[in-house]
Amino acid sequence: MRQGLVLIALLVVGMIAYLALDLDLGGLSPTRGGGDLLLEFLGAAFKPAFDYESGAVPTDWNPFFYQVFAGLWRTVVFAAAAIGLSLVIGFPLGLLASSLAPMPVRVSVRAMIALMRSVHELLWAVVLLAAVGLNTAGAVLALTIPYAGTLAKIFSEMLDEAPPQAFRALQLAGATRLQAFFAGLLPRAAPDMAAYAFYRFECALRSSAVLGFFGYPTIGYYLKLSFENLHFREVWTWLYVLIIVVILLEAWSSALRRRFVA
Amino acid sequence: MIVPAQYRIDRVSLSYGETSVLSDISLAIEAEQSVAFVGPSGAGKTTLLRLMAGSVFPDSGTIELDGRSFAAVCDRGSELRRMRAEVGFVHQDYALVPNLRVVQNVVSGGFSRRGFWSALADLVMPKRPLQQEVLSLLDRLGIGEKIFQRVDTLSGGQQQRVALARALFQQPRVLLADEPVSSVDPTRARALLELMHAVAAERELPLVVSLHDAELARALFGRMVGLREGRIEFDLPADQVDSERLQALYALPNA
Amino acid sequence: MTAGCLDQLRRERPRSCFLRLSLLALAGLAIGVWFTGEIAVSDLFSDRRGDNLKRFLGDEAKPYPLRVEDAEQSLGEWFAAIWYSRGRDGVLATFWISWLAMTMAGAYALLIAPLCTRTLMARDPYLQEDRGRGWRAVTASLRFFNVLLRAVPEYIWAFLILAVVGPSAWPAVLALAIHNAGIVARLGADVTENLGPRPGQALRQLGASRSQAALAFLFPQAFGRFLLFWFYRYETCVREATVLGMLGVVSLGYWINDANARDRYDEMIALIGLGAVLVLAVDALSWVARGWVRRAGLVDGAASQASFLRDRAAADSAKTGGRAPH
Repeated sequence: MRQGLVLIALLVVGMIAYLALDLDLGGLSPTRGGGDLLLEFLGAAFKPAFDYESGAVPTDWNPFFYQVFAGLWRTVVFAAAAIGLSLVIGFPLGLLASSLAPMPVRVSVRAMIALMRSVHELLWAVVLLAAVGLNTAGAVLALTIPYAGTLAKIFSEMLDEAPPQAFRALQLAGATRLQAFFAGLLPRAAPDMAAYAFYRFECALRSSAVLGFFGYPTIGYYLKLSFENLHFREVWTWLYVLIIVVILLEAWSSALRRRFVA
Repeated sequence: MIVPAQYRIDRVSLSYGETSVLSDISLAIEAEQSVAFVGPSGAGKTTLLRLMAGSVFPDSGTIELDGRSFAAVCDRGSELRRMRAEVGFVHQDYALVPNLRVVQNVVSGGFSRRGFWSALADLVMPKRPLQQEVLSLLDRLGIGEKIFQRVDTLSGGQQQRVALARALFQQPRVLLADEPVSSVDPTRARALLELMHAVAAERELPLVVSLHDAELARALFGRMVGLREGRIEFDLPADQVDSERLQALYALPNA
Repeated sequence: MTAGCLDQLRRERPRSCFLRLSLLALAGLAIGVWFTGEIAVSDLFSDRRGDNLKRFLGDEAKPYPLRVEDAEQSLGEWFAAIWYSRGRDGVLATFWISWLAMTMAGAYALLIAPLCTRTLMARDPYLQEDRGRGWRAVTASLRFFNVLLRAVPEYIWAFLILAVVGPSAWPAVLALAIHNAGIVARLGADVTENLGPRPGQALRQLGASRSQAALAFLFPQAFGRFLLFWFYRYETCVREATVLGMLGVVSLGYWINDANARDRYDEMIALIGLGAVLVLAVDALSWVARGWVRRAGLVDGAASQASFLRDRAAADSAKTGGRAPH
């Protein structure tokens, strides 16, 4: 059975990867401190913090809940700003990368999209940190570059895949190419494009949270801080907040999707 | 008042690569005529209609709409668009946008008369007079109450009427329809063709339809053009087309 | 009809309040966030930032042989030194880390996806509508577990695992494996659920057991499409594997971080460029592999990358009515 052969081949390459990385299963066992840390950390999962764990909190700190809300809010702000900007940039790029655009334009735009996508958003963040310093607009920009590229790539494929009958019919009825695009082709691809953009928003939220590890005031920043102070119950609070938001977003997007497609 | 168009098709041939699709077709279609192209599948009916709509151009020969040739303007965008806009075309697969409302689909038929931005505005929310115009057109076709429904919620016959409405909204000077009743049951097919006849007659438009069903063509159309393997077999008033001719038209090559 | 009739038809047109409110809220959010003061746009364009950028581009990020007059290295030698000292090992480690992680994620998905398949996990699969409460609980809890796996970003997983097992390639491998396991298992379950039920019905009618139906129907029919998803995730995984190195695992990211910490921005850019080349190469490789999967007839119907992404985005709606209509 061909499927089985493919499966075995993939597993063999997986074994090669294991050997090439010089891994041993002993590396999986917790380090001496790590075992206790793991137990303590897992134990904390059942009692997430509702207030600062350390009693000695400077008096000028905001209440814990305020802190949580603010961290979450900034995570959402960066993600939403990045996706909004990515749509503004990604849509025209996607149009220019689709087969509607003339050959030389299409090829060069596709090359540009590939470059934007080939560097991870966190690496863009590192470069921008080095280039201009810590700046929240820089964080949004770091998310936007690869996200705009990805949206453009997928949008162009969706436009190429959309059924072209109405698009052609409108051109045959004397509409210009651009008119026919907006009236005949775009509406057919739009539900898929919107659903995909929403999915990318979900991804952006996770990326935005991780940006905190690089000094931006999102969830990752507080999570790292709490973990380094061994405040595991606070870490779990942050994890739960992130998980709940992601789950809510998934539920929202699937509810939207049902109405779009139906 | 829209002046109905006249077609002059003069010794038109077209081939795709090695295979000849149409050879040496000559036809004249006058205002107010209703013509049915009949013949077996692969006879070139659809291609001939597409030539008349200016979506493909002949290898040789000329197609003239009121003395103007499509081929002459084929590389002049705006003039070609203006000529194409004079031809209303109802596609076999309707070619509607299923996830838009009826009104938006119909309005998009009139884009040739509008600039880019006003077309876009019409698409998002057509202005009231425009809506009224669409409504009276749909009323005439018997689906007025569907104006704000999404197209994919309509039945096949209703979608066909929306496609017809869009072609009429274009204010064409001739109405072409490619196998308009291929996916409708016989009773509804007849009703639809009668409706097409009626609206074409009200506007004094020539009506040219390709039909697989020759009996239906003989019953409803004034003139029949029999096509077989890219050639005209006969071009007669419908009442002079007898069963013998039809049998010859549809006969299998080796029979 | 009259004008009043038009108004009435307009009022009665079918529309989704939920859809409109959602779109309004999302648009409001995307625009509104720029006015919250959280995004320092004017600061980004301030003179200070401009000077930073000028210094970065004009000096710091310039490759060493170009920056320093009478440098002892040529540009080629400079790059070769980076390549042989770190670049090559980093690229290879990144590649193998992502592959191993995806192998583990794929293995998990192959085992778990059938158990998440609601059409299979029923009292009388493919034959009776009513699934039974116990079976519902199985799929629902496994699906929820998958959500937990994928809701936490790989970077955070790696950060946590690193603290437990100490530095090796394991934290990166496990982090990528866990996050992607959640995603790939979900995708796999969606593929198996979207298969037409007829062959399953036929098999069950012949008396096949649940596991026989899974092996003889679900696996062969879903495998090709699952493989395409897997390769698509693999492309993303390589990007992530690069980045995870920044936590201290010896992938490219480790060396990027190292160059960054030593303020050797020219080397940092060179290494990031190397990572980009790796990503592009893997994209090409995956494209070839996906093409092969399709040509080998493992996937029914000619489906392209876009429709898979659409499937992924459509995953939930697909539960109710099969694939998104074309």
